[in-house]
Amino acid sequence: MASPAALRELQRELETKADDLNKIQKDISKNHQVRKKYTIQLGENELVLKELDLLSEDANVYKLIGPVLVKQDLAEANANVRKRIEYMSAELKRLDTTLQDLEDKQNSKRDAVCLKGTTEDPITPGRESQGIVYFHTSVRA
Amino acid sequence: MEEAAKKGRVTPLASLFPVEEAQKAVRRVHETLSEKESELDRFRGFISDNTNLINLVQKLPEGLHHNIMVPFGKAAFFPGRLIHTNEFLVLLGEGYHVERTSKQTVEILKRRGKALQSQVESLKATMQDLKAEASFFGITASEAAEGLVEIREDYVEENFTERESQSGPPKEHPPSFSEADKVKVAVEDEEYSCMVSRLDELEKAEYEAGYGNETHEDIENVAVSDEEYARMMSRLDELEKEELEAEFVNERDEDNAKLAVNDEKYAHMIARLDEIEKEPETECGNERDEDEKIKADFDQSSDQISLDKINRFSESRKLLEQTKDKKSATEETLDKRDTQKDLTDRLNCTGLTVQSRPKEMSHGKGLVHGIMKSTPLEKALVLPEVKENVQAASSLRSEAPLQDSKPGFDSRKAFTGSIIERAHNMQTSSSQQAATSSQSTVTQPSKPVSRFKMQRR
Repeated sequence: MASPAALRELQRELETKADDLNKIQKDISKNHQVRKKYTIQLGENELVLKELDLLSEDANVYKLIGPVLVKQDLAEANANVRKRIEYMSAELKRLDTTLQDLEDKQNSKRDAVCLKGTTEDPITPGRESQGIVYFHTSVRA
Repeated sequence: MEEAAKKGRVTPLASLFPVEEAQKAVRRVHETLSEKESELDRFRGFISDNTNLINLVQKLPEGLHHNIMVPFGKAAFFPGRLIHTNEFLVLLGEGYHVERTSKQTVEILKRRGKALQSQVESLKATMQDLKAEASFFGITASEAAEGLVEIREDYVEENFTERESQSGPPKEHPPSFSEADKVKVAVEDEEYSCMVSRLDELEKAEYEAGYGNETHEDIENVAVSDEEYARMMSRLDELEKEELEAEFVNERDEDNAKLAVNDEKYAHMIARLDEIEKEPETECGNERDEDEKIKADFDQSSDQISLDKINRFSESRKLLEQTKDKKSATEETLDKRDTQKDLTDRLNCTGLTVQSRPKEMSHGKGLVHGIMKSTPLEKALVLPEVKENVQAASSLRSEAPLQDSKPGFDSRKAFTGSIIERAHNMQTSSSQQAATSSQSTVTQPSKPVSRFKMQRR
């Protein structure tokens, strides 16, 4: 039979761990969104590159910068698009590694929380187990 | 349940897939499905816009200038003119525009349309998968709600070691084996009915062949039925093997029961075959008569091989009848031989049908050819099965190189010809009756060996 103080302490630990986990989950979802954006842009740029390659040398290329349509050189436009594509691929790779790290952290944190929950269970199968249940549902969602 | 024979686990499906969860899963999948559908609609809108644009772009250069109402701001228009009707600034993406003519623009638009189409296709495929998933979840949910139960039983591998380990305890658990028997009997019944239907088909084919009464037709039909014949031969082999193994001691009761079942079916098969044989031939006679008739035919042709084959057939016939008599001989816990037992039954039937077929052939003239053709197939069939036969380490192993024909016996541990393992039994060479010259043929006519021995190629 654990003292109420120790019990409360355990509860607090559980809550902090749960918060950490939530934060990590938010990071993961943000990462996903950014990745999505980058992927779409990358696809678009690749389409543009394909069309530019099909153009003849004397075609006029304009770039819309704000409300201004600026005439650009075909070669310059090609180079710009290529650079953008490279930049975006690098960004995506970086995001991938970050995502991986976040997921690992999330898993480890989740295990730690589960352990904590189970150890607390036999002592008071009350709030702790409830907390775990809530936590699990939130994780699943 | 019988511990020795098998361990069964009954699990209600509801425990594995709780009803509510299954229903929730169904709903989730439906939501995703509706999302995908809306995306599909969007894509369809894009594609139609694209087509409209292509039409417009193609129409514009038809005039030097067009009089139009020019939009001005959000809610105003003023009359104006559209000039330079062949020059288009096409947005490529990422803020890049390019000047193109009407034809070039149309090309760009067409390429875009193709890309859209491919996206639509992939989306449709995803939707199909989701639909399948949803239907699966739905079925599981309904089954769980009904209280469907999943029963799992260990698969009892049949081999010697297991057998020996079982021979100790089995004696103390006779009821377990009878249960196993019943199971096997049930399985055998299924197979038996399959065999019967198969025989019907074969009969029909043969009738059609028989009435043609030409060598060619016969041969063709033989070729067609050769496959089946080969299958039956392989089945016979398996049965022979089982019989051989049956001599390895152990449970008599089981064997007797099984044998009784087997023989019962065998009797059915024999009766059937007799009917079949009677029909095409005016003289009914008995099996021996027909055998003799066939033999006479063969004698006329100086084909030793076919003669051997005929001999084999007759011998197998004899053996079949002999086995009936020697129930006690085949005593063996056929626990391990579940599949083989089934195969035995099958082979039983197939062997008989095979025999009847050649007889019908003799009606026409292509009998010899037919038989010759069937043997290679037979060999081919038996070969893969031979490999599976663990116990059949006998010399009978035929080495036919053909491995392509493997009819639906794959699921069974076909064992085929090698059968002959009996220490006290000679049969080894007898089984190896090969119609073709590649295989030596030694007939073991009057030995009380496995009735199926003879049929070996």
